[in-house]
Amino acid sequence: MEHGSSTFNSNDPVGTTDVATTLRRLAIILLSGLLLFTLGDRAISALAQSILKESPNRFYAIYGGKQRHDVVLLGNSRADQHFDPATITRLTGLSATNFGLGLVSPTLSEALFKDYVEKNGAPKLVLIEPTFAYNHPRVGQFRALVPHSPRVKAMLDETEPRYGAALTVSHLFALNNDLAMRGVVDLLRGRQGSRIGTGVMTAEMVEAAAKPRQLHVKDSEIAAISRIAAFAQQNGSQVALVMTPLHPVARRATNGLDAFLPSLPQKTGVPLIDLSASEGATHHFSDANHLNRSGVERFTERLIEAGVLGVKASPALASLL
Amino acid sequence: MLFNTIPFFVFAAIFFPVYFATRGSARITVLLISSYIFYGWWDWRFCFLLIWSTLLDFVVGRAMAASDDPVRRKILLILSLISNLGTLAVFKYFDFFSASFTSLLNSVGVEATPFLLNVILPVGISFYTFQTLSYTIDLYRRDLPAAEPSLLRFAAYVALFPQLVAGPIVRARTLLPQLAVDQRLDLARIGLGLQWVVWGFFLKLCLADNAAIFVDARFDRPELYDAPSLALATFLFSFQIYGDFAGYSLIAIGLGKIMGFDFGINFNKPYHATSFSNFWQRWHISLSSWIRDYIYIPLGGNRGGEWFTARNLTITMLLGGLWHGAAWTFVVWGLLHGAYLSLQRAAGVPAAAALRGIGVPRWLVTMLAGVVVYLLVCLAWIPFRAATLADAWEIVRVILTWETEGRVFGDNLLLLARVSLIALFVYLCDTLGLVRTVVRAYNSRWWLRLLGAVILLWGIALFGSFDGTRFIYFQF
Repeated sequence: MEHGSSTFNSNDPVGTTDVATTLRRLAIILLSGLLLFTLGDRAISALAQSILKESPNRFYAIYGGKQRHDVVLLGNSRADQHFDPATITRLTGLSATNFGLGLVSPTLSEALFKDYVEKNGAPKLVLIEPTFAYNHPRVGQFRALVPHSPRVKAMLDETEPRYGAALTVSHLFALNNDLAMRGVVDLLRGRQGSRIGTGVMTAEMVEAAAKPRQLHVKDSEIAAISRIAAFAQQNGSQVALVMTPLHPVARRATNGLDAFLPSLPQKTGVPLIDLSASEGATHHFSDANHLNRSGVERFTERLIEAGVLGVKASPALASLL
Repeated sequence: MLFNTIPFFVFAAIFFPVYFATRGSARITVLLISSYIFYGWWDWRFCFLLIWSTLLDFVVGRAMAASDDPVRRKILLILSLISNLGTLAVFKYFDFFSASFTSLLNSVGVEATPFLLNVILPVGISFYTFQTLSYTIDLYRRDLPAAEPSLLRFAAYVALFPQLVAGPIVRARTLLPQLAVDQRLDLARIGLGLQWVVWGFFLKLCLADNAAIFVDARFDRPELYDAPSLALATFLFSFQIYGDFAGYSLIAIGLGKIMGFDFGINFNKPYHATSFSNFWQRWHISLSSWIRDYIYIPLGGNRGGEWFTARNLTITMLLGGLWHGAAWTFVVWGLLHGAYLSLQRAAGVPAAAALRGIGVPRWLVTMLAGVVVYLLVCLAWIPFRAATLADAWEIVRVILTWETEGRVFGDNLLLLARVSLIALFVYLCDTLGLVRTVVRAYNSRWWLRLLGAVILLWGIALFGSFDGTRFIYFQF
């Protein structure tokens, strides 16, 4: 053999003992490391989650059980940025909370809304922005809420089992996302930050918005909207779908929208208020899909004019309901 | 196979027990087969190039060692150079030079369409080509005392999986003697190796992959973003590439350490450099020392006037740039570093002396030099990362004119906060690593090292990005 000296030399019984001792020590050190990692992981994440539960962040606030609102707003980033709770409260006196966020699907909203009603009671009105029906049912950053919500945990295990398994290994992993970071930031400043766009859509963005795109709505997500509505109505809430403004160029470029919108009330059993074409001025948009601050002010006023936010007093909505 | 994926963890869980349970030729066979599985995981066809390179250099090496005829030795060296560099030329550079030549013809009014091979670039080809080249060149120069007699061991040297695809480039004279010995199962070495592996994963998953989200968005569409956003993206790229490449190197070096091999260090706190030559003694050390020994010194090094040295530095760094990729962006990056090194030789010492002459304390001069080096290194990272020279120029222009009108910063403040925290932590750790008493105290207590590794693992769970992002240097 061309090799040099070896710990594993079969003529050296002492070498074998050395190997056994080394392996035993290695196993002890690795197990100590694993134990330390696991204990610390559980302790730090439990502490962090109990602190985050006090965060004013709208999603963590669900689980604090002290957030009863008149209006609950559901949807994706369009709901998040178009339904402004502060503006609604200022203009109507109704308290509101918004569970809309980018890429949120109806299936996830259903879990969050049911958690909200269970912990805080039912709102008077639920407004749903329906474009989240084409989002994939993913948990994503909402895995931050897994320690608080068996519903979100069940959805994670079903839709992203690898992340579900990772959460079994490390509880700290639940905090590894933007939602947890946002919870920390909101806790530190004692309030939630505004998420409404402040910029103005540029000419390049208008040009890009003209590129044709196809709506791919998922039937399973339409069914989730129906379940949200049914659950809300069982708990005494009124429900409406509100299609919020799209930039006119983007609206024209979205194939299938004109067929999708009229079919919604029939598919979900919920009335639709279509305001998608209610805003035409580019300077009220921050991009093709989102209004900016001035656009949101005008849109909220339109919601009030349409009677959407004066539910009981509004003949317009009453007739729809 | 990527280090940051589940298949690699399964691979490692099978490999290490088998590796330590065998000895002698059986162990080298295990190492060789495992390395080919690791490499072939991307595309099994790449293995044939590796086999070709191994066989050729093994045969050339044996023939060269057996001959005292200088002409015959030179012919054998040229054969090795042509074969290795020819393979690199075909797979990596042919399309680039063909397209560039056609563009040149078109620009002078000659109609031509480029002849392109459109072949896939085999992963790690630049690394193992340089590694095997060092073997034949060292044999030719007689820096390596004898040719490797065992094909099995030589093949394992070329294909050794931890550093096969992205370095460090380990010379034959360093690694072959280590492969000739059955490395002991050493607890201290395993501990150190695991510590480096964990630190490498932290750099990759927490620093590099988080920074990549911010950086990629801005370098992919520079026309959308304002000056502060692009400037921050440039600084973050400096940390991304450090985290990515130093992270990979540390994982490779750590895995080698566990197996019993010393690959040397590849990064040594590069952003603490106070001169450009010092930067290249700290950044990608295995490549910079390779191009120093096999390109710069044979060109004449600094054994001539200032212009002669500047020429050699420029050629060396230009080739170093081209080694990274077949694109004009890498050429510009290399030329910039060549210019930095040349200017430093011409003006660095007089400038420092002038500052000290007007009463600026030595520590401040050193600090200022460090800041200037870092900023200029960042400036050079712009063409390195940009997709095209036009993009690179656009980014430089927007930053220098501080253009914000009609552009956006981009909505990534949470990500920015996260990356900044991690970058600060890494920088502080690197700085602490300069304090010998701290390093000695840390290294001498096993429980402290264990705690350090566990804290890094908590950090990975909290801040790691787990989307299996490729390592940047794989493309080279």
